[in-house]
Amino acid sequence: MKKLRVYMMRYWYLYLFGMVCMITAIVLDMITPQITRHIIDDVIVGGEIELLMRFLFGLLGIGMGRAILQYAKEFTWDCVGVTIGNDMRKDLFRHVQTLSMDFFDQHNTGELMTRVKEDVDKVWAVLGFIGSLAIEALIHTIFVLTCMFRLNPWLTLVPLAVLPVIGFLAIHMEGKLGHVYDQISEETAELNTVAQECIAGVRTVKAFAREGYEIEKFSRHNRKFYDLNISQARFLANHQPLISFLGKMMLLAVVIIGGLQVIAKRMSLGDLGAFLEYANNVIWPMEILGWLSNDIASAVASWKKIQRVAKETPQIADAADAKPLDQIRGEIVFDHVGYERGGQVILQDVSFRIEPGQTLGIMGMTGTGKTTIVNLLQRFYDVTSGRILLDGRDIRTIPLSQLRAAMAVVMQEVFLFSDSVSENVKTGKRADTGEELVEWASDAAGAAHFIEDLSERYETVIGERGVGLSGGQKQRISIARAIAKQSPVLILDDATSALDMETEKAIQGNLKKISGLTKIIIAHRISAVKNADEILILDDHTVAERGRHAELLAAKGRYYETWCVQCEQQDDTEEKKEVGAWQ
Amino acid sequence: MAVNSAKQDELQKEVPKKDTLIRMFRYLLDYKKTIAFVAVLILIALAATLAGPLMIERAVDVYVANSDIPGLARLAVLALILYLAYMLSTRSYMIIMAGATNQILLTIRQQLYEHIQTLSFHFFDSRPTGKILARVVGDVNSLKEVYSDSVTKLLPDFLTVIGVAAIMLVKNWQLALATLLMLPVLAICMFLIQFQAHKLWQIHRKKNSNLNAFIHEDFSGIRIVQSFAAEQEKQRDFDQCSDEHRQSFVDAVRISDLFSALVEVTWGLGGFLLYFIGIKIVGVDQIGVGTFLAFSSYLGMFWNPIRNLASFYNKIVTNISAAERIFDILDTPSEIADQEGAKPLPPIQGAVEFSHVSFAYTDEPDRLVLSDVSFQVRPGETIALVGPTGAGKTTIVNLISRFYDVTSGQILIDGHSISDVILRSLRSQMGVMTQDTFLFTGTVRENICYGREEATEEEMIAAAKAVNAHGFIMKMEKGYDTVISERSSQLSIGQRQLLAFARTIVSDPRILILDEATSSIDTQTERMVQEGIEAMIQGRTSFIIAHRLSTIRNADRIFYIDHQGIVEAGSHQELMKKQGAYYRLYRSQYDFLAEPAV
Repeated sequence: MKKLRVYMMRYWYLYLFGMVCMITAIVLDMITPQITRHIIDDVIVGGEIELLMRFLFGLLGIGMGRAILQYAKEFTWDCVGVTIGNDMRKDLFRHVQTLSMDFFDQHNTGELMTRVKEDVDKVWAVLGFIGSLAIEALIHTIFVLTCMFRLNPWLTLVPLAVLPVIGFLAIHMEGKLGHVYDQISEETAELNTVAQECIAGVRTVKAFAREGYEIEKFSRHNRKFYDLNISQARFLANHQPLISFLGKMMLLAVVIIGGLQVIAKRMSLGDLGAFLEYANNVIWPMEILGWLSNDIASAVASWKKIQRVAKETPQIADAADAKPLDQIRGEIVFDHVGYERGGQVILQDVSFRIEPGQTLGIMGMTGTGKTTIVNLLQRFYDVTSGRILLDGRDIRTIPLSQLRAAMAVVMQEVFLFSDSVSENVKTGKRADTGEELVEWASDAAGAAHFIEDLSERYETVIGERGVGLSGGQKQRISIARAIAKQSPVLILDDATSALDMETEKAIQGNLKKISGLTKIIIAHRISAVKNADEILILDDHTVAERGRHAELLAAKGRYYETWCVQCEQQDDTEEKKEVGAWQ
Repeated sequence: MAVNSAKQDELQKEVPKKDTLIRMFRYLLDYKKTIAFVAVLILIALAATLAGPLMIERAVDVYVANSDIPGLARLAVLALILYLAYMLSTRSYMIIMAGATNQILLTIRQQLYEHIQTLSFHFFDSRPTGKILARVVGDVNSLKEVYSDSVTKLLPDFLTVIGVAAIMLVKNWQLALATLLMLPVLAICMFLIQFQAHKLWQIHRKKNSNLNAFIHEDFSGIRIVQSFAAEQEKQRDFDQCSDEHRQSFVDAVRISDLFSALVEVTWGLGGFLLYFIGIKIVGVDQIGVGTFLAFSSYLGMFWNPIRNLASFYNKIVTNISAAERIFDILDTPSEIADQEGAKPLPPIQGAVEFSHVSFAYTDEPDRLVLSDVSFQVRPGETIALVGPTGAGKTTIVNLISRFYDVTSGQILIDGHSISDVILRSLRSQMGVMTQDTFLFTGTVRENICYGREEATEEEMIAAAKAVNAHGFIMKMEKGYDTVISERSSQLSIGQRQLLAFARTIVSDPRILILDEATSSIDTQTERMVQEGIEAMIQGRTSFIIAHRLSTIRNADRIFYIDHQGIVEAGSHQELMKKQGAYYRLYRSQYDFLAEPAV
């Protein structure tokens, strides 16, 4: 994110154009009474009817001119506001996308949405329309004050004395409202989060028939949002009428002081009349000040929130000396890797080496750190001890984009975008993924036949997170997505849990055909890992057993136990015999 | 199923604008008395505002001109009182009106949210979450100004216009008509413009919703985005969404901004006509110089409020599309709702019967997912559903919970047709563990007790122990009071599944549905959980969908689902003997495991 000034300077010409229109319109505004005066003095009173048409066309011309200027001004300000808002939004979005997982762990989607959407909208409003009003009010005030000063400098002291008071009130109110708007923005995020969560989890809500509870929860936040808006209204109501009142009192003061001066013969009655007309003209900018500072307070609060996100730096970024590898073969080494988080050991002293084209299988109990291995490998988090090497280079010295491009991951929790199947499969490599590749990858992932059955085949739009597809279908599309990435390393994190074994076996066969592919397979089913070159069994956050399928069976440890359970041969003597035969 | 993606515009039913407007303002009727009171306050403030210039005129013309200082002082005191009255009444009506406006928004938002809760899965399946959110938060907020301005600004401006018009008519009807002549022209032009403007604002609202959906989806799936190094790609999509959003706004204001320009033009024309008709046609002598002077100042008094009224009209045109989107949801019928005269389902034994059930999604009626499925399940029986993915296993269990309604046939629980009972009484007796584990932001405790808030501490811990979750929960920072967040990495997916399992146990359902409930749990843990599962299944009717045969084998009966129905049914032994589809499935799994590694 850049400084606000930078965003605004980019469109200085639009601002300039808007200002020129505005000033011209104000000048035209000031000419109108002159023409009216001429019509009245010269035509009506003076009887010079022949001049009428000239004045009338002048009046009409000014009307037209004002219309055009008014339109040009409004349209320019609207455009400049929305354009800057658009620029800011893009930059903010770009920035958020670069932030690391730590940040996303701490911030809910609903909150981030509010920053990029609602908060930017509020800032944009001030940069456009509201900004234009503020400037117009300012220019107007200066114009009028100058005229007043030329007419009677002493009497001008009255509005000059009132203005700072109004300014102070406006600033005071801005400060107080800023605090409320800060909370309103926070509560908008909260409202977004609660609603988002309930809608995303609607299946669970309905399954437990807990709609009432969710409504109640929402109602609390809705109520709080209401309360905050009411307190905002109160602050405004405590200041705004007071500001108006002061404006009117200013006029009254001018009448009295000016009147006394006239009575004392220090001023002519005509001058007082003219002065009062000007004073009348300075009231509306004063009154509008309250409204403006209300909107500005809201924008400032939002801008601060945006800044807070913008100031976050990615915890994980390219090192200064990061150099891309020429070519990635896919050799992965974990060298005494440990990872701690919040004082808790999540992974401890894990070492392994996978040669290019080899397969590593990982099994282990839930919560022992299997997925953490994948997260560390992709540098979603950095190791706290030891190191990870890709093709002999510490991954912290490889540019993040190259590192992540080098591996394709099928995550445990399937996430698909609400887009066509084809677009989903192409994720990350849209530009260079042709339809043949999409179809080939889908076929390899065992997804081709059901995709062909969808109403618009590969162009069928699937729902958010893949709703409408079965668990197994979603998993297969996400496998196809990883295959289509054609990275040297493929990671399957419990990626076949919803598939039947036949499909799983077919997919494994297809993967085998991709030569030179380094694979990491995390699974709970022996069937998924048994053909691996090495299998790690994690327990208590570290490697408990390792070896090939046959070795592990022979070792009669956890792996063997798991295998026994999965084979379910304990009470089946015939099968037991067979088992004995291989050992 | 027709699905709307983040990038596509939503379809929306066309509703006459008049109806939407009437509906919008009907909310104000609930505050009739408040609004009447506010109107009185506004009148006071308006009177004070209008009296101001008169008093100042009098001060100058009478008291100053005559050097009457006491008179000036009296007037000053009077003005002070009047302005104080102005200030107090303005302050009061601002607060009162803000109360009413925000109360209306509160009501609308609550109504909307409550209605969304009653909608069926179909609604949620067919659109991104971000778009629903856009309506609940953004669209409702954008009605705020319409409601507050409709009273506080519309009323004084309207009264001023009427008042000034009346004064003008009384003073000189010819000049008055000359001034008013332009009003119908203005009205017609604005009416014509708003057609176009309304359409463009509708588009803008849709783009707004797309943007919301895109942001929501990208941040929810940030792991995938980063893992696939798709940031650039998503940025391009986002830029496009954002540019479209900007463009739609520019398009809309290009037309909308004509409103104020139009007022300026008619104002100019009005002035032209006033003097032209007054001087050229009627003649100055007829009218009198004084009247002309008065009319020239009325012109400003007349057009300024009209300018405000035009901008209010503009505001309505801008925001009516937001109201349309809100009412569009409120008018979406919940496909699955309690029928008229629905009775609560009494505490059930758990007998489930499918009688010639067929099912197709409503928007694809020709594509049967299930065709003529019939079966009966005795209370306490455990049924395993197996078969290829996408064959309809999840659909069967979804139908039992009435997440969707059957297309034909009926489903009976203890002899009650489920479409005749109150939905809540049905679902509260079921425990469903869905494929996607969803936990809410909140403590572990809140999550486990989600289905039954009144559960005791002991029940909660017993459930956690039954699924082998107690150990890791206690290791967490604050045990059962640890807050789980949306993406919290403190729990693995398997552990989340265990918590969801505990949640189902605590809810103590009569019918239990486990849809891939242990897919992310390792075999060792599963074995430890098995006891918990078995204890739980005891005495409850259970439907279990799983791919792991270990889970399936112990079921009383196994249904093999394929080709839109049940292909085989029976116990493990029976089906093995039959050597059919189940046998092949089982053998393939076994063979695969048993063959040596290659």
